[in-house]
Amino acid sequence: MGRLPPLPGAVARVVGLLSGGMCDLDEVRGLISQDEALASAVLRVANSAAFGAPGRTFSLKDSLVRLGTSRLTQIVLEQEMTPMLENAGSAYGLRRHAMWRGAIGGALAAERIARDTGFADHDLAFLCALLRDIGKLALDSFLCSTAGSIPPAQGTTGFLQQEQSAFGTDHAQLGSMLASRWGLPDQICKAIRYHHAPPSPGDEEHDTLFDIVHAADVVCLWAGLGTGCDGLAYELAPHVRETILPGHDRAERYIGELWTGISAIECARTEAKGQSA
Amino acid sequence: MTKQFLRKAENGTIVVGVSDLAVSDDADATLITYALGSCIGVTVFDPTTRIGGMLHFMLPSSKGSPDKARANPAMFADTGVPLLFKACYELGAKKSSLVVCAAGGAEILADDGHFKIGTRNRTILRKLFWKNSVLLAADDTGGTGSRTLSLHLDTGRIEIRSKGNGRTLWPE
Repeated sequence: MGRLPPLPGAVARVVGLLSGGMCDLDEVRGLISQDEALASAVLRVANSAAFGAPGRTFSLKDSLVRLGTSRLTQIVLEQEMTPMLENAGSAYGLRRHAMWRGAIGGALAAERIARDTGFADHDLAFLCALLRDIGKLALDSFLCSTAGSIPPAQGTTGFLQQEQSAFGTDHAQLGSMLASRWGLPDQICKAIRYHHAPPSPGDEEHDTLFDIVHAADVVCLWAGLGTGCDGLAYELAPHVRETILPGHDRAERYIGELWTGISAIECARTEAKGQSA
Repeated sequence: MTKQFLRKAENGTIVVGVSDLAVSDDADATLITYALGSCIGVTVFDPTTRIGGMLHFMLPSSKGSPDKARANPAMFADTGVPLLFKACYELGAKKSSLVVCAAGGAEILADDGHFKIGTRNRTILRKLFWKNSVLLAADDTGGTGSRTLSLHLDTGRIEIRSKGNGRTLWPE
């Protein structure tokens, strides 16, 4: 656990404040204003047409109020995770950007599935799916520093079992521990823990949020987003298949929409890079 | 049409993205596509002209998504595959000499026949080829592995990388 990558102090503090219920807006504003990239991301989203608020605001405090804690947590973590994810994943046989694409793709799919299933907190679903593979980030970081590698998926053995055999833990378990160490709320830690095997209805741990994150992960597998040496060696929980992904029509619609969403984000990023160059 | 899909190599490589199609007559170029999950990569190569192309399609049929197919025909097998062949013909490739290969179409574990996204992709591809009298020279499809597929236009060699191992798919 000592080798797990830390979340930068200011970001950890902001996330801690935002997830603690009653938060001090001035303290959050103070922390965000120290990070130019984060502050500009907050202003950009608060003023975006997609956000739908009337009139423009150039005040960080107004922007924070406009966005609310859930959306703000999402922006802070997305902003922070992007550079961490960009270059990671080589121990999993992933190319540069592949882990980022898997994370963003899952987040987009989860947001869409949340809307379709009537799950109220779309932002939370987005955030949990964005973070679901942070355990891979931790294992990747550890293996790159020790020149180790991850055994590829074999036959019909699930990849989590192989990670368990090789390391005594798996990326879902490790990711959940990492999220807890970063001070993230318990529901997010559990969504990461269960993203490959959500508890079924009747189990006291069952939560629709975990089912949504799991379904989003499977949609990414089909689309080949973020898949490396693990390939598609994961199972779809039967109860999620019956409720969220009842047939190939819907599954294929999500796969198609995922490509459209990822393409739009990549175009926007390329344009933003071109403008800043 | 060819101009739209004719791609220049960067450092000798033409990367074909997801739901993407590229053709080239640059004999020094290598066409490559990464992370084929349930998607399928199709390669076409004419050894006489050394013209080649690659398609990375995600889904079998455009019937339920005509808007998406108009915006990006390479997303679907039924719109992308004909386009791949047309683009190669327009560049000068001859149908009689084409070498056609395919890879991908993986499934998640224990799918139990519910989705079979990869299998549906493989089935429609075979139907399209059968209808148009196209023979597959080699294919590496199914299983649970994610694949990287590359076509070297100097010789037409097709390479597959999956689960950390590489091998030549064609010539066998």
